Amino acid sequence: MLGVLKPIIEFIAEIGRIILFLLTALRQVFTRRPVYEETLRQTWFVGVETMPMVIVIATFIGTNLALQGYHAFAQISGQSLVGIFVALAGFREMAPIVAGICLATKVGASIASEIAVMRIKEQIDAMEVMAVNPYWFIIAPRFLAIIFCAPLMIIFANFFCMLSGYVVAVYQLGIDPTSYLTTVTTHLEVLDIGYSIIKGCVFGLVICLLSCYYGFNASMGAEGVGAASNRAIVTSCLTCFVANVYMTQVMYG
Amino acid sequence: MSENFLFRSLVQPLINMVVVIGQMGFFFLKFLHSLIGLPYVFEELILHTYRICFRCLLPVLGVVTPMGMIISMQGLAILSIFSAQPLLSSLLVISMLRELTPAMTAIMIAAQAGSSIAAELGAMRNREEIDAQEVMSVNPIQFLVVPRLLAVIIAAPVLTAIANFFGIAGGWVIGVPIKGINHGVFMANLLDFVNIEDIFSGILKATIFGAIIGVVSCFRGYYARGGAAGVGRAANKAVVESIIALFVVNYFLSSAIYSVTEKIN
Repeated sequence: MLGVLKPIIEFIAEIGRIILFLLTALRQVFTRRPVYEETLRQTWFVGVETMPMVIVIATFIGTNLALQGYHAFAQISGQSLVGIFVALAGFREMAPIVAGICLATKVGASIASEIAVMRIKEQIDAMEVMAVNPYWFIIAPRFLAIIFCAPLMIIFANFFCMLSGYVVAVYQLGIDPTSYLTTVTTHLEVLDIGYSIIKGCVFGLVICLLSCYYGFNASMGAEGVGAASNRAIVTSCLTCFVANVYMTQVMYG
Repeated sequence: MSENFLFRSLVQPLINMVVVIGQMGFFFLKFLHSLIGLPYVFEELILHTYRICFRCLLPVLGVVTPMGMIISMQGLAILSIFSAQPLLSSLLVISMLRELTPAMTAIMIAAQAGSSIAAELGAMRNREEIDAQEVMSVNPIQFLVVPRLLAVIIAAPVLTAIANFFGIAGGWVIGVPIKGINHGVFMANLLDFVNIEDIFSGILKATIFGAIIGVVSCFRGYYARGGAAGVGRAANKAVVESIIALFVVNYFLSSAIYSVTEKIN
């Protein structure tokens, strides 16, 4: 009996540890002056170096939405609905997911492996010995960078998704541009854009939290670094997708 | 010219990208060349296929099932504008089979298996095991790369097929018990618009995605440099580059598949 319960208890204990970690980190984020240089460096990394990936993936998501929407609606001869499909699917689901995937695979993995390398080189212990709070010095700048960059990322993803959807629909599939734009503007609401940004921010926070946690608690050795970044990517993708279901239910249910 | 800021920030990355793509193509040719030669290492191949399928199954299902749920929710929201709720299951099945399941499965395979392949090969390169094999005139591509790359190519369609089922089941869970669509209507419309091409195009896509993930992550791991940090960088690059590559290839594949199926019909 205890053998069956043990993984469940371990899972709940892990969630508790992650929440404690989050509270400790948020305390440092909100109550102390941030480390400006480190925050700027992280913002550069998250905002500028990850942006090409977001742009490329969002562009190709938009093209595929237009292509699939066109062929799906062609069976019920509703080709003019492609605009609605691209706009709603892009803004509501795909753009936040794209930004989440980019954040998890590029930013999350590198945060986890960076912090794990600090842990195995005992730099974190050294900081604690010198009375520098590692949560303040390492974790808080990354949180701030992601809070600042996630909305911008979502806006870029939305823009490029719509742009490439328009290009494919008009130039490859031969849909009338005016009717395309009219259907988009009549069915897309401002609230959709707001919800999309909120979703992206939640994904950013979840990814930052999980990758900092797994990096911070990495086990020793070179394998520990690889395991930490792997676990960070997989867990944050899973958590984002599950959180997405709940957010969709609350926002549009 | 090379001191120019514009050149360094815009042109140089493009040149580097073309060079890396060429190197990957060359690596793939090497792989094909060793594929012809004997001996085959069947135990390794079976072991790696088993490991990849086993380790990726839970993450893949954990991503694809919520995806089906979301398609169901959003599809109902859009379809209720035209009061066409019974068409939900057709929409769900086509979007899962053709597009979403192969892409999402490939993302999770890249995240889970791709990074671990790159880390494994990178650690071997780092400990000079690969050089030792070359010295002993054992072809390291034959013994290390071929089993892993073939394993990813085999595992991707299998996982996609399993994930298709779970994605549609996730859509059913939202559609029928929660949103109250009739079970009979859901099942009746389920296979109405589905052709055999839809299923095969998804599987074909998954196979090609598997090949992309395998080539990129084996390449990054095989040529990893620079100690433990280099191994971490290789694993990270493997994931990022394979995800970008598979999204880019996805668009051209979809276009090609559509034009081919239209010619056939």
